[in-house]
Amino acid sequence: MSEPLLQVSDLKKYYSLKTGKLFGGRTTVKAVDGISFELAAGQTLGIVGESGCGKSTLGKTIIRLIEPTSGRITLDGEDFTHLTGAELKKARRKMKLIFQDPFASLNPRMTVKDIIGENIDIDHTYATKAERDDRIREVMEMSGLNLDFMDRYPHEFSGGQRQRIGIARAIVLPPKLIICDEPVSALDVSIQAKIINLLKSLQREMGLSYIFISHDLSVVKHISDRVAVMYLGHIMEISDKASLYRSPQNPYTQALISAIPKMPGEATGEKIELAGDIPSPADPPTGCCFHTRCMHAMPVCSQEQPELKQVGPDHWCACHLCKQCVSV
Amino acid sequence: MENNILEVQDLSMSFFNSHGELPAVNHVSFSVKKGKTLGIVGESGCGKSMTSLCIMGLFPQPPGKIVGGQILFQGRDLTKLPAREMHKIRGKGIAMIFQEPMTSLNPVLTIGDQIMETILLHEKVTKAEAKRRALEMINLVGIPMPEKIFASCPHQLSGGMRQRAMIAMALSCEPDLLICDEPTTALDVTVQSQILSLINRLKNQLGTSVMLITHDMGVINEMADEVIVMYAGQVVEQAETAELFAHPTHPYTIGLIRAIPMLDTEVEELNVIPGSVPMLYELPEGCLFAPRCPYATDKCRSHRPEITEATPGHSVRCFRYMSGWEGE
Ligand SMILES: Nc1ncnc2c1ncn2[C@@H]1O[C@H](COP(=O)(O)OP(=O)(O)O)[C@@H](O)[C@H]1O
Ligand SMILES: Nc1ncnc2c1ncn2[C@@H]1O[C@H](COP(=O)(O)OP(=O)(O)O)[C@@H](O)[C@H]1O
Ligand code: SF4
Ligand code: SF4
Ligand SMILES: [Mg+2]
Ligand SMILES: [Mg+2]
Repeated sequence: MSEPLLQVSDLKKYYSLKTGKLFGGRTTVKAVDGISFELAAGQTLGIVGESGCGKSTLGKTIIRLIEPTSGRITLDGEDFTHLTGAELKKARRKMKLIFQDPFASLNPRMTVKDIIGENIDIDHTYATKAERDDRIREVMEMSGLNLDFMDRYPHEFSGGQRQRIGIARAIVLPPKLIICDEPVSALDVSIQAKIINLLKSLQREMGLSYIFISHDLSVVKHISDRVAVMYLGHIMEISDKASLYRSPQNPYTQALISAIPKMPGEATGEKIELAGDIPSPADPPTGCCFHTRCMHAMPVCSQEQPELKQVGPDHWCACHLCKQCVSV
Repeated sequence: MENNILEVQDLSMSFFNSHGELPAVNHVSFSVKKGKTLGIVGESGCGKSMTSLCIMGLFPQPPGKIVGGQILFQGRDLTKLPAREMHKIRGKGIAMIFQEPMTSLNPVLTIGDQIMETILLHEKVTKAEAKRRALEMINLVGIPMPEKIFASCPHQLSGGMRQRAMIAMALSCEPDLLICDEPTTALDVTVQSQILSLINRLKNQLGTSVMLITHDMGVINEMADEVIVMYAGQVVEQAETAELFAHPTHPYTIGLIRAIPMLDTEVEELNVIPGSVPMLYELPEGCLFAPRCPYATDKCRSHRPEITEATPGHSVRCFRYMSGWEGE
């Protein structure tokens, strides 16, 4: 395999929160707690897990929208973790982040044209206004947007169109990697299908890599090459998608997959019902973070944290039950 | 009638505003069989919530007004009941749970007080008896440490626990019909799976009939005995669940099912339905689905199809299944 586009090693993001008002007590939320993976150019890594498991924090930490507590991010062979100033700005152009509602954070008084063009305007990428507008038209067409909308305002658009605008904005200066944080979670299925098709066709045309964050395992399976399953800030299992969905090794992954409401024709195994709620990341369980809800938990599980072990050609799992695969 | 707990007959509810009359619920007919689950599926804006709010007498009124049809519940027409009578039916006869539990929970009262209040409103029991029943309900919905939750306010609970608390309240007077409007849409899959199995358990234990609104075809497949598909305020297809998935017939139903990424099959591109659900002030003249339908003919664009039985027990609102179809 050639040099990966992105390497994340032992990335951690701890939030420090005030607790008691009186004594200035603090507590630490381990939102991302030692995450490592690699992403090859042109590929999609899906990240699944339930709300609060640290998916958004991971996404924002990778592009350093929030600073990591520790760990290392290598982009295109360059250490991205400690870049500053002009170098950081330059490297950051290679990565973009899109959200569930790209407009939640945008100025409602900006027109679509200016929203999409903001990044090329800041960079003065084009010498003339005509060239700039041509580029905006081009990415609007690539994103399936009607050019009549150029001078309209965000509130006039439906959820699906807003997401197209968010995508056009992300590709106006072509990046290498787009981190998509739940981009279709708020959309109806028929609109969702259109956005997913758009993301796939842009990937083919532009050779983009994606980190695709979602809690929807069917959507993630459709769009990803590899998938990582997160729980309480940890990767429980990471694998090529075929192997992950065909033979999930981690008890948490097994529970997640079994919980998806199945369509006729989809294999329906026994539902694994998890007891209780996800523990608080401010007070995570010792040992394996899943042991309080795992039906296979053994004494060792509350004492030792399992490492990610290779269990197949491109399949790693963190669980004391898993045997290291020797004949890889 | 004997077997039906609820019969909605040719129900129409319109909003009256500056756009004129907007038919949000458009000649809708269906029934819920005793002890069975009726699923209602469709994209957002198709009239699912308004249909259920009509049954509860809780739709916004004005601007909304029932302009035709009947809602027969245990032989009485709810559209003609005075407010006082309707109040008695809500809770005891029909209870409703929502996507957002805070719609029906009071933020400043403890869960226990709220459930007791509902019981005391509908039944002649002592306070001690009401408390006993409230605790029993909290226990029944699978909440650990019922006493603790009894004394908690809603904001102290997680999303899944709040949803359970709302269900406990909805079930506290053992309603004959439980209407669930997207009860799990905001929840993670493992919590969704817990709540859905809870609804099924209660249906089996208490004999409650269920009307379940969702946009998730997988949920329909796993939960519903019968299904109606709604589009732009109309019922476009109705069948038993197995029949609907074996022979989806209306072009909208077929489009919806094909737009979903499946766990067991790989496709490069997802099927899409062009366009989007129309706003009520821009409904087309003919078949409401014609602008998005791959089979639309001139007749479809100028005439509205009636819902008709295509095969026994399976009804469809589409000219293709009526005699004299000359399209394709
Ligand atoms: N700015 C913040 N300050 C403190 N805690 C945070 C902050 N952002 C997120 N968290 C906490 O970190 C954990 C992970 O959150 P998040 O990354 O948003 O998860 P996800 O995207 O998987 O739902 C959660 O427990 C959340 O409450
Ligand atoms: N107060 C209102 N005035 C006018 N139209 C409304 C009002 N409330 C809802 N609607 C319209 O009624 C239609 C049906 O809405 P709803 O029943 O909530 O859809 P669903 O639950 O299927 O998503 C939608 O087109 C919506 O825009
Ligand atoms: S390490 Fe133990 S608790 Fe954790 S997933 Fe494996 S068996 Fe379950
Ligand atoms: S009546 Fe015509 S336009 Fe409407 S769904 Fe049937 S074929 Fe399509
Ligand atoms: Mg998130
Ligand atoms: Mg609704």
